[in-house]
Amino acid sequence: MNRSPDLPPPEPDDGIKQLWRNQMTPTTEFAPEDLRRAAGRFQRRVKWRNAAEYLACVAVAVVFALYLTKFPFPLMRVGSLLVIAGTAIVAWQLHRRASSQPQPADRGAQSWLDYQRAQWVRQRDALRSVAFWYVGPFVPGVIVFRWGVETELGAGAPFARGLVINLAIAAVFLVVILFNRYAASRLQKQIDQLDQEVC
Amino acid sequence: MQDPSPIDPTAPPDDLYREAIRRHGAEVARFVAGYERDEARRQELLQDVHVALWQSFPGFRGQCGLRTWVYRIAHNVGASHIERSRKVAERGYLGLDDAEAEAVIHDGADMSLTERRIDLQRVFALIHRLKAADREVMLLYLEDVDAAAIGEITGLSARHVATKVHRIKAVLAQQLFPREVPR
Repeated sequence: MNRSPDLPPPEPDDGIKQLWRNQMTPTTEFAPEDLRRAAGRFQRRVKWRNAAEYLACVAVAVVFALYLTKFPFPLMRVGSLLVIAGTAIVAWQLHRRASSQPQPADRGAQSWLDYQRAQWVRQRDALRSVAFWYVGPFVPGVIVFRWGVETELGAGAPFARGLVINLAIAAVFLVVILFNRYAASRLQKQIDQLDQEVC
Repeated sequence: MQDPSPIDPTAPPDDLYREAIRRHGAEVARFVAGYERDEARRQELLQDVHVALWQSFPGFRGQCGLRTWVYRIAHNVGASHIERSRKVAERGYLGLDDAEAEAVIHDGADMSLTERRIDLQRVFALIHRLKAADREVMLLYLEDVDAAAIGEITGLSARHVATKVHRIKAVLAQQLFPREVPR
């Protein structure tokens, strides 16, 4: 294959395309029963993953239900009820967002660019709005509960101790929000790169 | 590389799946090889693509040709697969510009026609390092899909497809005929 250096590079078209298509690639056809089993395994994995999130919600609700029965103070009881309600809202949001996953037919109806963009936009919006649907529902309950702890349960405790605990809880909420917003901004960069492909 | 004949979208989904694999099963297998180099994981990915195809046909109403439908699903599942492969992603994928720059570094000897397997290995090595959009266009180009159909399958504009195909030709030429490329 010695060629004169004056000649332009050869077109790889036909040779390499032929080589590519002549690879030994036996056509595999799976029996519908095997595919059904594989799809079932995948759905079970998704269900278990979702169940783990719901279990965390149940654990939070159980703890605050115990507080409800253990502490006779009105503010703490109202706070516990609000936290349980907030947990229910978060669980519903998790369920709603999980069920808005793309359907199998979407993969054929959309090009990769549209499909991928829709996935990333969905994830970005969920991450960006974590303050409203994941952190926000807990805030009223936590505020009222902490108010009850400081004024009813631990009345007379040093002010600084309550302040430190409140600030620590606020910091946890803030870190969760900022971390998710950072992840959303990274997704936005990927979306922008994708958009450049089609403009 | 056109679909041999139109397909009846009202046929039972299992029949549509069988027909899709009969017509395009070999391409699907080659696409999967372009998305996963490890043999065991390739088999898993192949099964994932088949499951996605099989699950998709109840939603197939003839919105597009069977080939477009099958290719889109194979690439969407393949692209999702490489998205999940975090370790590989950390190594970074190349754009066609970077691939062009890298290709000229090879100091390979002239290839003879009997050494086409090495050509194929080089092409695979290149494909496995490309970003998803470039990889999809490269795989479709190698399947001899025309530019209009590549645009329909990928969602890329005609201008982008033309640019990418032009670069792909240059990269392949450099990969396969490294000595003939001016340095």
